Amino acid sequence: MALSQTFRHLFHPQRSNNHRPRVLHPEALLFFVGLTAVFAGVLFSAPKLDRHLGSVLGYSSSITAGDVVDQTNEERQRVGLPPLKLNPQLSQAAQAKGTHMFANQYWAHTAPDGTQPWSFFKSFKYNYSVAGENLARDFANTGDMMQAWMNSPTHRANIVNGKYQEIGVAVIDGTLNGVETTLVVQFFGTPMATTPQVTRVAAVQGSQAQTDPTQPSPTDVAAAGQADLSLQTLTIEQQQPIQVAENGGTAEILSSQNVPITQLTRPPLFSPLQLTKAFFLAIIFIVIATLAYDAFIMHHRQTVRMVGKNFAHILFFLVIAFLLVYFKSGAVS
Amino acid sequence: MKKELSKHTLAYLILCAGFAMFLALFLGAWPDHDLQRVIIAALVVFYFAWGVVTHVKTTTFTKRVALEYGVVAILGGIFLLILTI
Repeated sequence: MALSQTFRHLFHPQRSNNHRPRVLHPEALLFFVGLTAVFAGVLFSAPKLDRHLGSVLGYSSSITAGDVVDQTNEERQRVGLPPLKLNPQLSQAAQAKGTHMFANQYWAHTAPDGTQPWSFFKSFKYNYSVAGENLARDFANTGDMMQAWMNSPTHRANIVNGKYQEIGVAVIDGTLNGVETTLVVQFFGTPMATTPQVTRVAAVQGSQAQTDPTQPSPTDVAAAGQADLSLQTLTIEQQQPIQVAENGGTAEILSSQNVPITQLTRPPLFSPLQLTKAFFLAIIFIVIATLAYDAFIMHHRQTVRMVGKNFAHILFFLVIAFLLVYFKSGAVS
Repeated sequence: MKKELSKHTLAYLILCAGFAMFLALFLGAWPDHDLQRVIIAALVVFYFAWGVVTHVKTTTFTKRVALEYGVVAILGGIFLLILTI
């Protein structure tokens, strides 16, 4: 009986609630505001307190490096630019940048310790004349992420920049600030084309095309012996990227061994966004249903009250609900 | 509902136009979350102002009505604000 009365008091306009469902009183709506703030506080702080929650909350993603390269080149072709060539060195540098972000728990172009993106280019002996970086996180698919980059003038400027010739992409899963996520690092660059070293590289590539590609040619060995460390790495990586890891360039060792690459062992059960949307939509459903019921009852009673307009509130919450449903995750930097 | 709409046609037209503009701006601003937060703040102010002006014009304005619009606007705003964090 008491439960029934409480329910009526909350949702049915009657004398006990001054002929306005208690749920629609400003005090009750303020309670929802407080509840929302508490929910957000718990959602954002809980993963930091409990590391295991990272496997429950997180963003699962279908992004692949290949798709990112393909869609980047599609965007370039739309504006009449030549496609970018995938460079394994740039991809390894991008991987190192992503790993550095997870290891140091930051998400920015410049690390808290002052490390610039360009230092990763240099670590992998990529001598560039021009270079650029795009970052993204929390996107569910490549299309949304590319759209976000293209909507941002600075990121778009990188993607459709005619000065770039090569690209490297890393898609890395890990835990950032307590939440499983996927970081995408996109490096752009154009190698120093006028240096003598690059001329030698071109000669090595040309000679190898006529011999067994799995074996280093005499020219290759000679070039590697004559050139500096940068040249050796550049030459071999372009021809046989797997061997580079075996030969063990300094930067490669740092990336693959000293800094752990965190991987998702299984996709998270919920994304924070899904959980937030579900919770907020539940509150909105309660409020809209009560507003509609109240409007219906009071219309039949023909009673005049000094309260807000239910129809306007319903419209307002429908707009909010629409955005909650269609809000897309992801951030770019 | 029809009676309410026909009595306050202009007010609801302004409200719907405001919502439509907000939707276009908010979705267009993605993924710039900072800009989206500014647009959310504008929606909160707009809805509160619309409620106050509408009730003042119909001489049904009270402090409690103003409080109701304020809290409803903040509740909607906080939902969207948290999404953008």
